[in-house]
Amino acid sequence: MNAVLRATETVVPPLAVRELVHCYEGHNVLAGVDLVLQPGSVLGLIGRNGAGKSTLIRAMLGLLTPLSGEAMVFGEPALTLGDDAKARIAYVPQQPEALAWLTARQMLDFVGRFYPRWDGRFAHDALARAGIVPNRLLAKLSPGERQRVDLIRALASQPDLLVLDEPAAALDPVARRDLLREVAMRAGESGTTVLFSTHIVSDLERVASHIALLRDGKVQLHCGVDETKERYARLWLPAAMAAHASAPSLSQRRHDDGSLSLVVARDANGQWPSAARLAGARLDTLGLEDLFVEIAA
Amino acid sequence: MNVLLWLRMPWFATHRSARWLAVLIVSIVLPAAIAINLLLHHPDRWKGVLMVLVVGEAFLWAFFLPATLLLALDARTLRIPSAQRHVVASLLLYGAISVIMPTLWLGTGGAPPLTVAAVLALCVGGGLTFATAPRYVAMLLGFGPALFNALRPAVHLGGLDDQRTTGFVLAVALVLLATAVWRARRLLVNGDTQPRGWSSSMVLQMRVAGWSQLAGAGDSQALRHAPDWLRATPDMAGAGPDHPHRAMRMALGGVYVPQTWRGVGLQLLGLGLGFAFMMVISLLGALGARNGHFARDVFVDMLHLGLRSGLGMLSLVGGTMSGFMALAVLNRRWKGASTELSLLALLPKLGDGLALRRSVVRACLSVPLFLQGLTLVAVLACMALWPQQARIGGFALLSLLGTTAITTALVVNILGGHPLGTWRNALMLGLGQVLTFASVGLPWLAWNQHVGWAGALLSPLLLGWLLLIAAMAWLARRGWHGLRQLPHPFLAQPG
Repeated sequence: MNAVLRATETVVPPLAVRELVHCYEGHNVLAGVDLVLQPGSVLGLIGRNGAGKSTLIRAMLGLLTPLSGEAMVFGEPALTLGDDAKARIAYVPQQPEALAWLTARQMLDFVGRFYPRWDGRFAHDALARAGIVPNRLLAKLSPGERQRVDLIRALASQPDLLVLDEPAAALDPVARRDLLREVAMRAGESGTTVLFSTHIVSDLERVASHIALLRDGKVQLHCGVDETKERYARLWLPAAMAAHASAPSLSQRRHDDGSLSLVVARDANGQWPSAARLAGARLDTLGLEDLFVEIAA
Repeated sequence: MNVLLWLRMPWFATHRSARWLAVLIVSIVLPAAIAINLLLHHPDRWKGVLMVLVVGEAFLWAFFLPATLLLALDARTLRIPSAQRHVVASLLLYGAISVIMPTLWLGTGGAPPLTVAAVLALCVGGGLTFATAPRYVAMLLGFGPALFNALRPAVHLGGLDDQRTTGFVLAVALVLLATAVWRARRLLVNGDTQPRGWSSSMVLQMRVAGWSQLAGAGDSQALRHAPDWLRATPDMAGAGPDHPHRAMRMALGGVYVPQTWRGVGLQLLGLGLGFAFMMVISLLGALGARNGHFARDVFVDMLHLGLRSGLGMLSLVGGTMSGFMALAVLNRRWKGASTELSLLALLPKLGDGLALRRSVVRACLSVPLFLQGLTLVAVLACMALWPQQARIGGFALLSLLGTTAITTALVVNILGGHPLGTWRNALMLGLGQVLTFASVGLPWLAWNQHVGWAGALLSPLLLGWLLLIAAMAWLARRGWHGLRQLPHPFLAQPG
């Protein structure tokens, strides 16, 4: 019986959204997003500025009411989460400006009172390691220090689901590396599921197990990081063939000389599109950053 | 020369709220001055006109026109050529307009031109010095007029007709103008790198000023610039899952943060200093009244007057001010991607369903209702001090009930996803304030001065309040209904 219960628990995804639609001032930011996070995975959400990453994260956590679609957290509707689900989530917004009138110590003390698994020792030590004066008002900390305090706040609650919106934006390289190490450790040792949005592709390569690319309000690509090099490539067709190319592609770009670049994927049988076999066609493997630039541009 | 550009400069350099407030002040002051000049037939009516102009110009030169210095500061930082010169030209042009035009206008009506020019130059110099001086000096400058009035008998200065008063005013105006020029030059030379705090110019505060800062809504920028010794000291006791409404107050910030006694003391410090300064002024007045000999009866009279004025003023504006402070904080928290709201939305153990909604409403109304309770005490104290004016006190109580109804309705509508917006909120509170003034002024005119038309307006006034309270009850019900419909109460309003 217990084994059955455990099996049921493991299949409930920590985060799942279906057909999520949201718009601001008539502009569709999310146009039917489907995304599921598997337990224990580290998903890097990537997209250009204004692609809707923060909106998607907020909708996933029930911090805004989408126009349509549904978001579930640990199997519960995100907009009506119970205390148990809330206690398992930690979210760090893009600009952590909350509770600026408290000191770092007061904020951690205040928030810690609500979490049953709060690790006060970790919070204290992490604050000391970061060299942040505990009695300093949060408003008086630098943006990087403030982001670190908020990350400490998130990690000290020992969450099962950690959601970070551009967590490294204000951090220096050393602090960024510490953060990534901590995230990788949490995911590896405690099985924490992590969703983080970022612009920094090297961070994705270092820590993410999966990536999701958001463009035009939809998830254009969602796969394991290791799969990207195997699964996607850039197909270049010279001008003479460009008109005849009918390869299904994630993006295409026509150059000034009439040649065409397409991002193509292997089909279900692991084959590249037939256009790749045309004479003069060239298939280039893509690094994660190139893939992002080709698709998102 | 680009006179049009110089005239338009303050319009571009100021915040929208400051801009419209300036328009409002000018649109009140100018018609009032013209009305006094046309309707009064007393030979000294120019003094009334001048006093009205002084109020308007002092405001413009303290809070509106100096904002162009921020433009000059930015132009200097960004190395934009000649912009700084245009700002200086704009200030000079407005200075000339502020002094010369009213002087010509009143001078043709028989007013002494030198006196008028000296008083208006004092306004220009005083306003500019207030804006460019360090904050602690600027605060003291605010007591200047009261100090001058208290000291006038001691130094044997007469009214505006006295030539020696004109000379004195002119000398002070020139000193203030020279100080303002010196401070403005220092401000521009030091640029935007100078530390913010009590020693920095008042005008630098205008960069971050807004309704929310005015109400102490807990902006990061304002908190960053406040000195450590003056910072709030939150009382963390009880702010946890056992007392969700107290925890919510901690997360709302600004006037909502539960404070320790030390924190409350610090907040009252400003009030205490102001009172101490008023005591000193009263003392000087009492000394001056008897040619340098302390006059106990005058001192006691002045203290009584101060106490009554303070209580009366609190009765008049306490209800609206507490509503304004609460709404400024809540508007800010429930707008856009407020991080406090995200935190509250995902914080476990705050409760759920109806209990959570009640806790939120309780937390959000606790502070304004407490302050309105204090206002009620002030009204009752006024009624006890002036038992013969108890009927006027009754109207004051009604007006307090009205402003409480307005505050409650506006707060619940923000929580219920139907915020009325900054300007509509201001309009509602403004309407409440106008009715409050009428509720004290009309009964006073009717029962103390026996003005017939004032008595006739009392019933419509009563009806107006009752209608307003009924409308607010409907609005509050709509807000509560909206709140119950929301999936949870921590959903931010778009925008």
